[in-house]
Amino acid sequence: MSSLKMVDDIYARFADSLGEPLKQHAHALAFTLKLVPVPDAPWSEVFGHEVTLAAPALFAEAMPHVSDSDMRDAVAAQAFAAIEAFGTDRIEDRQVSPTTELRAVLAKIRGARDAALDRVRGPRKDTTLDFDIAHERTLTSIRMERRILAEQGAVPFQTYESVSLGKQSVGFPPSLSLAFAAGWTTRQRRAMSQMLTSIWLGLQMPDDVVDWEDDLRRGGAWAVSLALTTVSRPMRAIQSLGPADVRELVFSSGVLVKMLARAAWHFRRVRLISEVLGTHRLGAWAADRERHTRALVSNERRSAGYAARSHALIAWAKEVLA
Amino acid sequence: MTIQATLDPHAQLRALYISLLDNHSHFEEFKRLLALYDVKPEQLDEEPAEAAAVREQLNTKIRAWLGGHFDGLSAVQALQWRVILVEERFNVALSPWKESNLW
Repeated sequence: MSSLKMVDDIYARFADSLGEPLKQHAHALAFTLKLVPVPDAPWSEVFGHEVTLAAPALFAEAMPHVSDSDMRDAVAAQAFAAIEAFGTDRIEDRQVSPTTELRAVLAKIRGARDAALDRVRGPRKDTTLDFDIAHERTLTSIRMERRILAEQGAVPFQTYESVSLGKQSVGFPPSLSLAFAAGWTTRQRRAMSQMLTSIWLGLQMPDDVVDWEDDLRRGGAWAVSLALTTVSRPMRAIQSLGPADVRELVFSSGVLVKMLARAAWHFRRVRLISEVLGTHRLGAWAADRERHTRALVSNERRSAGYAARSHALIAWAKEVLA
Repeated sequence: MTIQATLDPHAQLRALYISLLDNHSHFEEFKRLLALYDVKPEQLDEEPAEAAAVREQLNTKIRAWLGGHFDGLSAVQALQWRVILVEERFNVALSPWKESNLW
């Protein structure tokens, strides 16, 4: 069974176990969170790759002695953690209405997530394997992001990367727990941590490039705050700028190129560490993302706004030009 | 930049695509005019005059961008573009975890 089919199977069993009316809400969760256009789409159709929902399965390639049940539980923990993080993010970001049913389904998902992780982790005590700590860190980072962006001040790149990484905290315990179960050494687990850091940031940054104007309309965008570090205008003047002036500021700052280049750097790091750890599928995925992101860097440098336009046009291009 | 298109309709659409990719002003103007192209699918057989005028304005712009070599977007094509670019019904909203799955 492919890892995404495994996620579909795990999630369908979970949703069916809830009983009505939550069962129906759980099955339609991806639609409720505005990730798919139809209510009955499985999670495997939400993403174009396995990494977000099933990262542990990709690491398991280099864990010959790990059991199938540990691997499945780690994938379940990852999938539930990612899905729950989507929900929390959408609620915190006010993109979806926090209905009683949505909150109830997310609470059930957190329960399933914790139970799956407990089965992989066993009695091991380690702060890197604790979902409660990771969840708190994610929430704190989401709220910190909202506060920083609402201020519309200049923000150093390091702060952007640090807050973005904090938002991805729940993406670490499942794979790290599986590494413990597989008997990986401290050094191997440290390498895995670096890979997870780069995977989540490499995925996050291009989205922040593509979505920056939408983000700005919703209250603030990292691209704008990063661009402000390149100018010396007083903040009041910046806040009085119209959309075209803000776009010009972001385009001329080169910050979109910088964010994409950093994403490419992260994918490169995943590729290189994959060679050492023997996670070849993950390495091949990272190499593909690196190649694609480097092409975007080059095009964005040549024509500012290229990445966002490319993203906006791709559905049409695939439909008509394929 | 003028993009050379040919009589081949597919090549013309490709030229339009490249023009929109490479020129932000073209992209913005294209989206602005599509936003004004307010037609329901059931109206396509008898396109309202106001919408037809917007589409003609759009096609004139495209011809200018492509150096004259463009047959013109049909009502169906204009609506298809509008659904994708203005209504964003083909591009699901992205979230931090959702690495551009179509991209």
